[in-house]
Amino acid sequence: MNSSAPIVGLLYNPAVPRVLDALGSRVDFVEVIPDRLWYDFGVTASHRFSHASAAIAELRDYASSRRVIGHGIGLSLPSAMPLDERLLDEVVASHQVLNFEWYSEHLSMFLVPGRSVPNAQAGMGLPVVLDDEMLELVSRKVRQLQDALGAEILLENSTIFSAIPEPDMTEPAFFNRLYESTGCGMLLDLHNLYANTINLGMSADEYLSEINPQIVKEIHLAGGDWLKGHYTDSHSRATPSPVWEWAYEWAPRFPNLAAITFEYHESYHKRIGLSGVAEEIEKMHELASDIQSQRQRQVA
Amino acid sequence: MLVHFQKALADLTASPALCREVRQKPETLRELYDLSEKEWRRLVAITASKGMEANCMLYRANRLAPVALNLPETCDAIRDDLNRLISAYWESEPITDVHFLVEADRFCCFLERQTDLSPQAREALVREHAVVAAKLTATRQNAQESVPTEDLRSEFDASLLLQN
Repeated sequence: MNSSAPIVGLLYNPAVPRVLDALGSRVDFVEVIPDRLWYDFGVTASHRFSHASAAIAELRDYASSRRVIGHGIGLSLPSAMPLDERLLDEVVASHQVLNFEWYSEHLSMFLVPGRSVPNAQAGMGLPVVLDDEMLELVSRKVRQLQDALGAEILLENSTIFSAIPEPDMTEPAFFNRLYESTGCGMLLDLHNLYANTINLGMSADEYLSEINPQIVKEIHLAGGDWLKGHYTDSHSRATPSPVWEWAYEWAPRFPNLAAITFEYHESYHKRIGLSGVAEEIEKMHELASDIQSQRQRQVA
Repeated sequence: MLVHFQKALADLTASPALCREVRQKPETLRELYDLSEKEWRRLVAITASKGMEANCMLYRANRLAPVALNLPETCDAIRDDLNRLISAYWESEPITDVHFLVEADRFCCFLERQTDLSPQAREALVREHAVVAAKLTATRQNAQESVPTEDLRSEFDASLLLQN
């Protein structure tokens, strides 16, 4: 039984360096979206990628004394189309430079099949069909990603506004079976789950109790906004109370949980404030200590 | 077919008009896409759901982001007409470009072809388009100077990719 505390960190954005300057070692790791490190001119361009060299240099400075986790948005594993191998090469290159502890993607469709990558963006993450065909498709791409990166792969549960009816399995069952077939773990985004309980009326307890506790490696926390009667995962506020309550209740039950991440968007840095982010970091450390205490008691 | 199901879902998300049409006449989906009976039932139910409104709103918000971020003064100057103009632009360019500068540049070119912009809007457009164009040129230049990843596959020194 692992008796250590999960590490605590932030999703990296252009405002995070100010937080890192102020909070120093209180931030154990940064989680990096590699897709934000380049401009992509598309598959037909003779020179497809333009790297954001200043941002990369800054990130490398801050990452030199911290662990780094990769968190991708571009590969769109559930799309019924082959993986974009040139994009995968870029992800591999960023891993070789930044040395990701592990790499995660989303259980959402960001790319639309039948259109040229990358200008095939659906504009947002769309829900996926939870059936055997999708499980086989995602499993195959997870294995390809595992082979290419040589790193552990996780998949994140997403916010959806319209669940696809008549599923052959529940979402937790999908994650459990994916883990059984590929070893792909789960990045459990508790705020996405919170949004889904509000928008879809689903039960968080039912969802969380169906997850195989072994598969959860990382937890995401965040806050959101209301948009015309719908609650969104806009990464615009501190984590709401119900999400903290679930984190305290459920996170100690996940023996392989290794990291807790707060996500916020740079455009809301002013609203949340440096003190607000610092408060989230301290609350995450308290949660991590609580988890460690419970783990130590179980070992004893 | 999963491919057609996903394409239909994306098309519905991008088009409130298509959603309205499918709500009135669900058979439209069969005419446009190769769907199994179950896929058709799923799409009809999603289209009728309250969440589809949120999908469509977020899609529009996401597509607006590169324009609002790079052309704030132009957007402000055409404020009353922004909804009409951006909708017309999306109709002429139905597929999003993930490169924010390309998307902003395409919208500028679209606006330049409009004959009914106010002098203030045109002035803001000229100023901000110049900035967008300069940034785009710089990123294109940077891309041309990058070492193509496929050239490194056999002898991979990844640091070269991220140091230009």
